Formats: sequence, structure tokens, C-alpha cells
Amino acid sequence: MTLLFFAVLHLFLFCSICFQSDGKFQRAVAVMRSQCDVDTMLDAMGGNSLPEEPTVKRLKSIDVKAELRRRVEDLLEKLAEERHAVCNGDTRNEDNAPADGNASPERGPGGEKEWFDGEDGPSTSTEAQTSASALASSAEEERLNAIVQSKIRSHIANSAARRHAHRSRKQKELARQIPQTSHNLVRRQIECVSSHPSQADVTTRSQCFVSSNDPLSFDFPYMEDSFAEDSSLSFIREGSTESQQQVVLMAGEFDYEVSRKLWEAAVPVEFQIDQDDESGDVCRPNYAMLPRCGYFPLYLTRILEQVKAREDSVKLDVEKVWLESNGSPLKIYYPIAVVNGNVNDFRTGPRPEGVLPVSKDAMEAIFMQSLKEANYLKRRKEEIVSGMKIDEHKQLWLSLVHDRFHDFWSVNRRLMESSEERPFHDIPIRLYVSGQPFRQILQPPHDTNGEPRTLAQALDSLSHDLIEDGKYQFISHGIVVPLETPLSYLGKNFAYPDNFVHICAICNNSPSA
Amino acid sequence: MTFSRRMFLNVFTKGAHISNSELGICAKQSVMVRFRGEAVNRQVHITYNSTYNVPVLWFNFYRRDGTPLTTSEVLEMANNEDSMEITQYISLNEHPILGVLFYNVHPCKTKDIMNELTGKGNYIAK
Repeated sequence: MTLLFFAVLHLFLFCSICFQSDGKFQRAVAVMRSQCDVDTMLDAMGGNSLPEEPTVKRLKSIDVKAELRRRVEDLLEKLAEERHAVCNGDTRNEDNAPADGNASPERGPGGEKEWFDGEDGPSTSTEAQTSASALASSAEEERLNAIVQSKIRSHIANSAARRHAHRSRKQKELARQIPQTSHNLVRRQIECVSSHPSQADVTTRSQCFVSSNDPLSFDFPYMEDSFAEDSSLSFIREGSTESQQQVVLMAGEFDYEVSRKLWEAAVPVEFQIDQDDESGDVCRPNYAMLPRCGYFPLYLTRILEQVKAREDSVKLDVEKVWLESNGSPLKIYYPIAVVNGNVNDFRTGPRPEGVLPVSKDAMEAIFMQSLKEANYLKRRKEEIVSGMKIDEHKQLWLSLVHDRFHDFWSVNRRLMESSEERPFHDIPIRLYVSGQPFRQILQPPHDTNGEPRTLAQALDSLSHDLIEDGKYQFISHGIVVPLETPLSYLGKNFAYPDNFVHICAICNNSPSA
Repeated sequence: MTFSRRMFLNVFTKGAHISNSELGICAKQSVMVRFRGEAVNRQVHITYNSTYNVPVLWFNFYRRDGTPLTTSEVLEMANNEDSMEITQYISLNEHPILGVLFYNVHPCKTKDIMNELTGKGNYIAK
């Protein structure tokens, strides 16, 4: 029993030495420890059979070693008995040394084999796993890169295709309009091009149209791009011919310069006082430049004050004043540009039948009713004006009264938003013929084939009798509008502040413009 | 309830004068009513609005000498009705047939209002 104990101690020392020597033998050390545990278990069980091991190879090795150990122990016992009979201690020590020597060569090859298996197996599998995971991650990265790049390329291609289609469509529309240029339109365009937009104007545009709360903010970069494009084209083609200048102005669905110029357009008006009192005094005429987009009731009070300041004999009351031109009473609730007269008389006395005074409040109510109807035509159930705050209604009206373009457009911008994906339902158009009420029917911007409808088509559906002989010309904002103009362009750029496109039919023989 | 042009013709044929012209169809009614102890003529016209697909009520009041009542007087007349809130929907505008200014009830709410009517009684007489 003492000999057995000594052998066990030797094994433990061997293990500790291996552990301290080098780190790369850790797995081998673990294997050795396991073997020691097995030996201890064998000793404890008294040499009984082992439970089944997961590795058959190890099982055989352990059995062989156990048998050898038993034989050695049996031999030692026999020798011990013989020595006990002889009673010689030195002989016992010599016998112990060869036993140890036998043990170490027996374990060497087995130990090496164990080391080799333990060391190569896990490392091989580890390396395999490492390389596999590395390959997988790199493959995933490549796949993701490919996906992202393909998405980016497709997005760019789609955007380019969309813009290309849009521009080609515009070019087609413009190509049709160029040959039909009229003198007035050319003059207006030259005037617009000559006034080069300054940096302040560019800043104003951004301030006017940028709004973080706008649900259609995605469209703003495109609008800005359109502005930039128009500005650059305008700069490049400053010295171009008239037809090319027209291309510049017509480019883009919304044109800031056109809207600004139409807002600022004014008409000279001469007011003559016609008093029926037969006093013999002749008052000097009063002259005023009135905005085409405005309404006479907004300015009559101020004009009367100016007249009274010069002529003490004039005793006119704004409630009893009415306007007449060429013997016909004026419909002062129409926009000034629609009222064709250049010379107007102030009159007092009994009004002609059907002529009612129009106060500022009444004019505001008429304006708002037209605005709501126009926007109902454009968006139907999604009409915006009725859902607006009262402050915004007031802002639209007061901006018109006080001639504030940017205040007006900060609200009106929302009423003019449309795109190819979400076009206007109908374009609000009213046609005026002298001596008749205005004519108005539904005017969709596209026909059944999806092609843009033009002014000629709208007029033909509205009043075929006026357009068939070519004896009428159609004027809006004092401009003879080409019949090939798309309705969507008119709806966005030629609308008056009440959002209606008011068009006057004038005989070609008529001298009024 | 979808209000169509044919229904418009059927409903308003009885008891009114129908005027048909190339500018549209108009049902007219002219009666004398009392205002501040004075007899005034009340003109009531009904036209069809193609934008909203609803009928539009046009009206005006004239004194014996032919002069129309002022806006404040007309609104005072309207306030005598059962519903005082209707005055916010009344304003001047051009009559589509006559081409002169008349008072009208804004058609933008007519469709919603008529959807709520039960069809009992004569609403116009009220």
C-alpha cells in the first residue's frame, strides 16, 4: 500500500511540472489530470471493471495500463515476500528503481499520443470554425454592399428617368407653343428676362416656400432645383432670340417670375366726375394706377378723398357713387383686369337697375366665396380653404388689399400644390364676354388619353361659337394667351388671387386691350 | 343623397315659373312681403350649380320704387327666420342667369345640409 501511494504522488508531481513549463500544453495537462482521476477511481474501486467511456480508444489504453500495473504489483508483492524471508533492505530499494523506469517508458508513447490527439483536434476544429465564420462575415458584407449599391443605383436611375420623362414632356409642350408666339407675349417676356433676379430675390424665394410643417416637403428640393434651373437658363440665354426666351419662361410648372409680374401689373385709369347739377363747373380728371388683380371697391374711397381734396364743390358720397364706362355700368366686383374700360366716370343719382353698391365687406365675402369654389374644383372633398383658420382667410384678403405679395403667397402656396402624381381635379376657369354673365363648366387638366388639355380645348368645350371663326382673341391679365397653353400651367401661373383664371373674349376689331 | 339635374327639374316645376335659356335653368318666384310696416317685393330664384351639383338659392328685396334693400336690411330679414346661423352663409354674388348682383346662400354646405333633411314638411315655407 505504501508503494501505491508513492506512485500516485509521483504522477501528481509530473502533472504540475508540465503545467508550469509552457502554456501550449494546457490541453495535454487537462488530459493527464483526467487520466489521474481515472487511476484514482480504479484504485478506489479495487480493480473492478470501468463504466463505459465515450471514447473506445481511451478505454482500451486504460485497461492495458491497469493490467500492467497489477502484474507489476503482483511481482513486487512476491519480491517483498522473498525479501522478507531473506531480510535484506538494500535489495528492496534496487527493485523499486527499475519499477519506476519501467513505468516512465510505458507512459511516454501513450502520453505523446494523447497530447497529439488533444492538441490537434480542438485546434483544427477551432481553426475551421474561425475561417468559416470569417468567410461568412465577409460574404455578408459583400452581399450588403452589393444590395446597397444596387439600391442607390436604381434610385439614381429612377430619379433620372423621372426627370428625363418630365423634361421631355415639357419640351414637347414648349415645341408646340414656340411657333405661335404673339407680339404682346414676346414683349412681356422680354420685360421679364431683362429684370435679372438678384440674390435677395433668391433668398426671398427660399423664405417664401420653405416650410418644415408642410406635408409635401419632399417636393421642395425639386421645386428649388427647378428654380435654380430656370435661373441658370435665364442667365445663359440672356442674349438669345425671342423664341428661346419663351422657352426659359415656360419651363417648369410654377414660375415665380410670372406670378410676381402678374401680381405687380397695373392699369392706368382716368376718373372723370360727371355731376348732373348743371353747375357748369368742370372738374379735372383724377388718374390712378390700379392693380389688375385688385377690385374697384378697395380703392374708391381713397380716390374720392383725393378728388374732394382738390375740388371743394364736389359733394360725392361713396355709398351713392357708381362707375360707368362707354355708357355701360361697370361690374365693380370683377377683377380690375376683367373690367375692360380704360376711362371711367363717377356718377351720382339713381342707379341703373341691377347696380348695387359693393362695400369692402361685401367684396371680401364675394372673394372668399370664389376662392372656396375654385379650391373645391381643384381638390373636391380634399378642399383646403374651408379647413383653414380664420387668420389665414384674413391674411389672404388683407395681403391683397395692402399689396403684400409674400404674405399672400405664404398661404396661397398650399392652394397651388399639385404634382403629376396628384394633379388638380379641375382647373377653375371663367370666361367673360361683354354684356353677358361669365361662363363656367368643369375643365379637367387632362383628356381621356392622359394628354394635357390646352386652352383651345377648354374654350371649344365651353363656348364653341366664340372659337370657331377666330374672330375673338382671349386675354388674361392683359396678355393674349396662346391657345396651345396647357390648362395646368394656367391654373398655377395665370390664376388671379381668388384662384380663378379669368379670361376675356375680345373681338379682334375691338380697340380695347 | 345624390342631387341630379333631373331631380332638380322635377322638384321645382310645381308652383314656380321656369325660365330656360342657354345659360341654364332658373326657377323664379315673386311675392310681396312686409318689412318694417312697408310692402317690399321678394324675388327668389333657384339655379343649379354644376361645381357642387346642388341647387343654389338666390334672392333679393326691392322697395316699390325699385330700389333694393341694403345689405344690413336684408340680413335683418334673414334673422327673422328660424335659423339665425344662416346669415354667415349669405353674401352677394353675380346671378348666373341675370348677370347682376343677388344674395345667395353659399352652395358649399348645401349638400351636407340636404343629407340631414328628413323630407317632412316644406322647408322653404318655414
